[in-house]
Amino acid sequence: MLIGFSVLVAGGFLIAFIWAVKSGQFDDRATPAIRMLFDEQKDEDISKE
Amino acid sequence: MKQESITQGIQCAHCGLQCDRDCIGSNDIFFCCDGCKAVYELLSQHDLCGYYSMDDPKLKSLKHLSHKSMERFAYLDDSAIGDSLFEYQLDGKAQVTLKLPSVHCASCVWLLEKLPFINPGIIRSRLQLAGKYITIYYDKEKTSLRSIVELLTLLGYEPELSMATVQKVEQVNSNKTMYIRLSIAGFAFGNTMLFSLPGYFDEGMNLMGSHFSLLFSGLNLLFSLPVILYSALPFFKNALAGIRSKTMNLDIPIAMGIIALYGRSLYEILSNSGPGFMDSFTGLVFFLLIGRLFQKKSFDALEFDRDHSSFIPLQCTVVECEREISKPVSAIRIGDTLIIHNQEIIPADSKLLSAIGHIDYSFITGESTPVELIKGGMIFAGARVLGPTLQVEVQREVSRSALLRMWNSEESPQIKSKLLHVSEVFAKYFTAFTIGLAIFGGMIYLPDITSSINVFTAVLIIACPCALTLAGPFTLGNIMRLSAKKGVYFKNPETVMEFGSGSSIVFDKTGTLTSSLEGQVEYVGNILLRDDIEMIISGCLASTHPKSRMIAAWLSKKNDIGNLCGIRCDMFREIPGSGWTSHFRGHEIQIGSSEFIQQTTERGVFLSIDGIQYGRFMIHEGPRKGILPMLKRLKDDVTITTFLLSGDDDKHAYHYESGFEGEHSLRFHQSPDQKAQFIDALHAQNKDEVIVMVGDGINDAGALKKSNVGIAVTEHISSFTPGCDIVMSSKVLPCFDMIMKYAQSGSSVIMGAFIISVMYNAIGLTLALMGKLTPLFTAILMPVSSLTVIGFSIGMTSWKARHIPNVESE
Repeated sequence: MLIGFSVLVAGGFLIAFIWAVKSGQFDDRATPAIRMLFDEQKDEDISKE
Repeated sequence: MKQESITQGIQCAHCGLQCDRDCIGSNDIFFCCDGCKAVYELLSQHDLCGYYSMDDPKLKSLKHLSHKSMERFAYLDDSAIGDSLFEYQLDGKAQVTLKLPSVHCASCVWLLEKLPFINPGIIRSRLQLAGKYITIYYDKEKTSLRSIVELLTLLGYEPELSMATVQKVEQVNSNKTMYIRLSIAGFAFGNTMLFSLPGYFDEGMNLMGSHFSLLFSGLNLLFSLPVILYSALPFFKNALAGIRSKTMNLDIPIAMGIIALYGRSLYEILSNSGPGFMDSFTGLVFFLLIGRLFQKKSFDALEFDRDHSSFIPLQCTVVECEREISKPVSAIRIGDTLIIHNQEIIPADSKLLSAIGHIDYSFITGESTPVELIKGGMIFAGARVLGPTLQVEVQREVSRSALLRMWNSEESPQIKSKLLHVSEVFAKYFTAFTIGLAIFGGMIYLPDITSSINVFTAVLIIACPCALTLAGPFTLGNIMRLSAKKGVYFKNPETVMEFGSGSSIVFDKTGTLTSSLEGQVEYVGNILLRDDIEMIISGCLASTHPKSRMIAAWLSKKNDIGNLCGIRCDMFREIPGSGWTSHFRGHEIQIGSSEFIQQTTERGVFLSIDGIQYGRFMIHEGPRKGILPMLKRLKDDVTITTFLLSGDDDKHAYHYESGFEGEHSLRFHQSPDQKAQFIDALHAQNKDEVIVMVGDGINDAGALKKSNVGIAVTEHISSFTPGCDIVMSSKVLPCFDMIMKYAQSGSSVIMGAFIISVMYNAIGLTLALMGKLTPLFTAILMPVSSLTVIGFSIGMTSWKARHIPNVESE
């Protein structure tokens, strides 16, 4: 029972990782870190007017 | 923040360009784009608005130039060229990925991802900072590729649009599969370890019952399936390729080990005769893949295999029926008349039609002084036009130009890399030895078939050169990584070995040992007062000629004039190639060549103020700082011989005599062909010699390729370098000898790692031959030996790197 669980959990992580690699999350590790620092205020201003 | 839409006729407060679209305004100041506004706000917050009142004529001319030079992007409207750049287009929308070499910081990301606000036709823009790529998704009806490229250029991020970048497709996919292979192997490794552990504790006691041990074995079998079928695939492929081409590589014994390990485990589990070695098997594949990945991790930002296509532009302007049209370079025929603007590169060998022209051949010959040509003179492809726009008539097709012939002549059969040779021989003996030993081991136990097969497979398993394959990549990979921090970029691990074993070093002089930025200026003539100096600087700053720049820098440094912004001349006129005239506080200053000032035929840059001859500046291209001590250290090293090749005359030979051994190692007046021939001659003298060529520019390209290791020295790591094995920042050149020593240490570290792994193997092999190899033992021995080797390699290389001084690198 527990063995089955452990295999399931580990397998889940593996699938999650493979999915992450395939979806390109690891392609660019530098830019998103910077991107999140910009506030989106300007966009809102423009859309309001 | 208030925003208004303003009609035409207003200039942007930041860049001075006409605001032709909706512009953004605040406090009666208007901007053409968000980028300009952001910069303006930043400057005004810090009371730096002085920038805007400073009406630098040079800045103005730059704006003017950038506006005019946009014409050169006209070819992007040509659908044939445009289409080759698109990734896909659908429903009038297109996606294009461009390389922007000048991207470098967070504010670039900010500005470039705001492109949709600047040009409404752009739907989305995404920048990839590390690879310097921007992906733009846009509406083809609202905007065009050309206007996007123009916008980028205007913002200061000119995309790299050469043939090579068009042909280049991203190859991230292979890395992705590598990660997936690794993750699967890692997953299987962890789980099989977990399920094998109870078996090891249970040895001989049989506490958990056959029910559980069967379940665990079954699970292990299940986990190992994807590992052998998917993760281990590259090793089988390489081994198969090796067998097919009848060359030995280290993947053959690895593949044999993997098969033996898996086959025996499979047999044991299926026949229920033992727990098998599945944990060792998955662990082995996991470690091998880590080594592979480390080996593969090269530097994304650098391209080494550039060829002539990176030099030649994609298009050029052709005059046809009295109209200027742009054509792809490949469509140019003999007899076409081309229009070449300032700073553009001439794509084909041609004849000059304009009255006079100034050509910079520094790419081809390395000579930085521009050449003056009169009507009818031949210009060779690869030359850069300086000054006014020229008309030329094509004499030879692009594919037959002298530049291309130079490239092609270099493609002589490459001398086989020494390391490859060594590892090939090693692999051959190793494989033969392993198979021999395995057969021998099997023979001893022969009457007893079971133990005979056991020993046979055990030897193959334990002798698998796992640690051996890890030692190389990790040692050399770490050397590459640490060197890159110091500003030396190796092409691949083999280059490190090759460079370390270098016995002859050939230096190019111009641009390599000397630097145009560090030239020495000398003034001879009347004493200059403070006012005179300011006068001269004012004119020099307005001029674009490098010599004017050097004089200005020298004068301001020598006389401690910090604030150059306040000094500007009233009138400025430059005659390219000869000199300039300017007015400053009512005085007339003239600086230029001897003909320009109408004086004697002496060399130098002459100065005249209000028509009176003052004196002259002499500019010497001196060796870079620290070069001479480095050359002396190399000279003292008995295992290394050094040579100097130069395209220049020998007027500065005295600088270098102390750094080289005698007259025969200094050669001047060398053409690019002669440089390549010199390398050939060295090879002919001694076949075992490993020749390291250090050069820059395409004038050394032939020699760089002929040599075993070609090193290109550049001022900026990201700027163009010809095809070479190592790219080196000019700042680290003074420590050249230390870097070489460091590369040498690589082979001794590998040897050390080999000895360690051989020791482990010896223990393992003895046990294997005695038939006492247990799964528990292999499960411990394999990871431990791998980890020791990795630790040793990384530790030793990091420790040895501490000697090299840290030169600031990009």
